[in-house]
Amino acid sequence: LSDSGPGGAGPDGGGAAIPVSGWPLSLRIPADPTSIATARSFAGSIARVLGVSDTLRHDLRLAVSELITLAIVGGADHITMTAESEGPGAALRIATNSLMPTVPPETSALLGVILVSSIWSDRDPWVIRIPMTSTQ
Amino acid sequence: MQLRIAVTDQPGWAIVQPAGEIDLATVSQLEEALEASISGDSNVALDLTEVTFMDSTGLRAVLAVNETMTAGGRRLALIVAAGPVDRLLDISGVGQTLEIFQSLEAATA
Repeated sequence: LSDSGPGGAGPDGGGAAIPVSGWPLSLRIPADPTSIATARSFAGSIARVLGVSDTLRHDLRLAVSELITLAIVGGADHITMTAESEGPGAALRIATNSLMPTVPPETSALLGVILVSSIWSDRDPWVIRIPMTSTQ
Repeated sequence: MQLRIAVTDQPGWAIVQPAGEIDLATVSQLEEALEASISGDSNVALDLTEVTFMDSTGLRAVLAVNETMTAGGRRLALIVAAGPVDRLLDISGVGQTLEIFQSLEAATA
């Protein structure tokens, strides 16, 4: 699984796509700022496997970055990301060892929450549903 | 990916050019570079064309510096190419509050 840009894994890059039987995919990372890039890379790889547009891939990486940041500043110790096949696309779930923050733990996090809600309007902000062919 | 930041000067302008990804792990580097740049009397050009990713942590840093600069009658000019940073500014809706250019030459003209 690679988020290596054009030419990487996935139907749009010509590399080896992960077969559907490979789902679910899971990543467990420490709740540390240095893990945020890893989480983005994981999300980007999922997007490539699904063959979504560049814009949707950018949005997915942004939403994941914001949510992982929120989990870190919310006091989590570790974070688990799980991607499962869902209909024609996938659902990416983010969970921590602690209660998920439902409101910004500090005012400075508000902008990130606004960004995520403007990209994905799911009732549960910790589940990102990724359509396969269309942008939101 | 780590963040690298180059800071140079030209008449009337301090040029800050980060390259890489800006998030919670790296935003302090950007904040330090911007704080140092705004300590003088020059305007500041923040060239984001080599930034491959930026989230709200970076955007907050930019907005804070912009507020300081405009309050002091100076300019913060952003140079942004099409891509993730452009998309972030579009989604956030803050683009109208910032001076955004497509090239460093246009920003400092």
